Amino acid sequence: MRRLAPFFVIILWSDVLANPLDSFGFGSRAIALGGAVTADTSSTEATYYNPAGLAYTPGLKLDLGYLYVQPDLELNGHSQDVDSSRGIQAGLSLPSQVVGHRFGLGLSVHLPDQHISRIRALPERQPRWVLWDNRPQRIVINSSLAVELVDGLSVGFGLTYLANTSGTLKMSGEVDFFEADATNLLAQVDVNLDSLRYITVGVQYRPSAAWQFGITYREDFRLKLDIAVDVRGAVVIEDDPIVEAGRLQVRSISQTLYSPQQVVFGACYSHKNWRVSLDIGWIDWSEFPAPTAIVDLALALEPLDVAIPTPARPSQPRFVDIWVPRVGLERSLYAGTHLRLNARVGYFFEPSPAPEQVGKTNYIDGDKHGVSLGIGSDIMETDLVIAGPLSVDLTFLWLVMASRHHTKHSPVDPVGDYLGRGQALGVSINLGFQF
Amino acid sequence: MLIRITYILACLIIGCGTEGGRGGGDRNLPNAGFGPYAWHEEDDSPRNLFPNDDTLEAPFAFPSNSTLALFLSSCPVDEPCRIVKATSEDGFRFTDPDVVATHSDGLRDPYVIRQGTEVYLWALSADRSKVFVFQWTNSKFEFQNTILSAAPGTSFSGLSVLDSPVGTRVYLRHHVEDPVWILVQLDASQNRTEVDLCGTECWSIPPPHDYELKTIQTAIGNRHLRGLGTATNRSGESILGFIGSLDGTNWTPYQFNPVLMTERRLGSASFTQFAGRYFIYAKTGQRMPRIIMASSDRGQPSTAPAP
Repeated sequence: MRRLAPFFVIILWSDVLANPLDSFGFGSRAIALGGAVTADTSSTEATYYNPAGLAYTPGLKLDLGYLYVQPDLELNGHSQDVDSSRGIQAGLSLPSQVVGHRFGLGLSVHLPDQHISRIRALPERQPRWVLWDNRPQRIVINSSLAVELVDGLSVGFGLTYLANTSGTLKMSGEVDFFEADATNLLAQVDVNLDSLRYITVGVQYRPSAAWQFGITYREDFRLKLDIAVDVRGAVVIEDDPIVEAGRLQVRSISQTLYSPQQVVFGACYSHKNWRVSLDIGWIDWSEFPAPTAIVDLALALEPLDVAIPTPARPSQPRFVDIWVPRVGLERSLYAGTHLRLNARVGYFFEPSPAPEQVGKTNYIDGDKHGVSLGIGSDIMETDLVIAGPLSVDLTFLWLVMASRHHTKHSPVDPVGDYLGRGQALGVSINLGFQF
Repeated sequence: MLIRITYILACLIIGCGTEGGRGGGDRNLPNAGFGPYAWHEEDDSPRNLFPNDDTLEAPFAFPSNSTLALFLSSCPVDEPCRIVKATSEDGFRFTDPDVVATHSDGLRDPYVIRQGTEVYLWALSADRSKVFVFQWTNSKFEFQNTILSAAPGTSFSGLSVLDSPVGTRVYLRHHVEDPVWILVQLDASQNRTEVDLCGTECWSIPPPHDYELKTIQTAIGNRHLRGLGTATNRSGESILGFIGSLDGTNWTPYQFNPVLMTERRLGSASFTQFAGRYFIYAKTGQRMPRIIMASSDRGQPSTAPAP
């Protein structure tokens, strides 16, 4: 049984952390404004940024967009071939009145067109862009509602849905050590895809036509992939059972998705043709658990004297909380009867929550800067069967991962020192149909 | 069968994860020379780098910008041992060796380091009772100094030299009744200033990596010092393993040792990084010594700047 020993100490991690909306944002306009729209959102984008904004949805609106982000992340000067992130971003917002109060409903979805979801387990030492990499490869569905309590003050509530996976493979029968054909095992697979929800709560306050304020809280959530294998049976040699009731239990628990709780404060000021918005968000990365898959094995082969070493526990990532400032600027370029044009620019800075990687783990991520530039247009009186304008928004996004050098404490660290840096270019386009 | 089933199931569960791969980065890491290594073979036997010369021993690899030099001891019959040099453009094929250093006491176990703009050769006398230093001048090494002489009846082995911030440090194994590692400290003019017993420091390796370090050398690394150890058991099987250090005093074994094994008796192993690969050169055989080699294609040079 000694041949098994190296296997038991393998600790793996799954590299899907947070979600695509946290990574890049939702909706072309919001991305163009650097994501600084907590106080200034009122359509389907509000389902992610601040559900309270849905109370001010001007009319039934269908948004259909597409986001494409191509990263170029380097390790020691060589590209990592990190997958692009692309997918449909769509949503529906519906205003209404309930006992004299403004009321809004929203539904949105981010649907990646490469992977509905991806789970990959790699060794703990594997250097990873833990905040980039594959976290965008995830379907996200938001549903929200909002109500205006008093004039200018609204609250919103949202639910985000994801899938959790657990399963068991049960095998029973006889294992023949010397005649493989004589081995007889029956297999039974039981896998569940359970839904998981987390909440988003928001408040928006509009004291005047010029000022708007907002606050949003997003609950933390974590998804785990829980798979177990249970093998029961007899071990025989030439019809002679040497183990009558043997049992092998294997269980793998891997954290496949984690998003920290967040609180975002936002303010927006409008003056003439200008609109400037500021967000500051607190992200609770210090609660980030070890993103590892732990494989536990238990082997009972009495009367044979076999033992399985206790697997090592994963190292704690020791992430820290971060504050993320965002700023967006929007200017009306043209406001005619048939056409309205807006130019947008945005910036955000997201410091890395990962400490310098001096030991076993290798979270490469450095600080992230995001610069965006966009244009939006509202076309009135189209030939389409819609009552309101047709909105067309186009945004270009440039993300820069600052250079970061990780210096190992151990002179015989098998990974060694390394330098990580990179950038990503993205484009987002959105069509909005106002009914 | 149960083992096989366990393996297959566990593979399915953990996704057969391996280092590297898409989105990984293992192939772009410094690798630190730890492997994996593979012997270069011909006809199921490690290839002899110098089939026309059976006088060569103690290879020491010394890379420069475009050429890898291999310094060796050459002990022809009826001639004193001397130091020779062969060069290679790729690390696999070498020119015939030329004599680059001689001494009336004979020379063996070369060790070459660059200090500033100068290149120095360190070597033992043929009877391993003295330590000499030479300086590279006009395409050969000129004798400069005798660093240390062993007491009568004793000898040295395992010559290694470090260019440390506190001056040149020479590591030697002194073969007295109970062999000990000693550390010779030199000043900027290569004059001996201090000789210490290493005791539990220097090359002493904590358990469980208790194989004997017959030869150990430092090599490439932005800031880390690497050592390569060889050990041979009574049946003639040899293993190679690495140790590392940040200060040249405290050494730590690589956790995945041994990095290379062979059923042959090995001695005088040297490793280096050259042309995007890591190479190990070693001597095997006693009466008819051969120089053999192993390489690691994962030896991607680190482009990370020193901190």
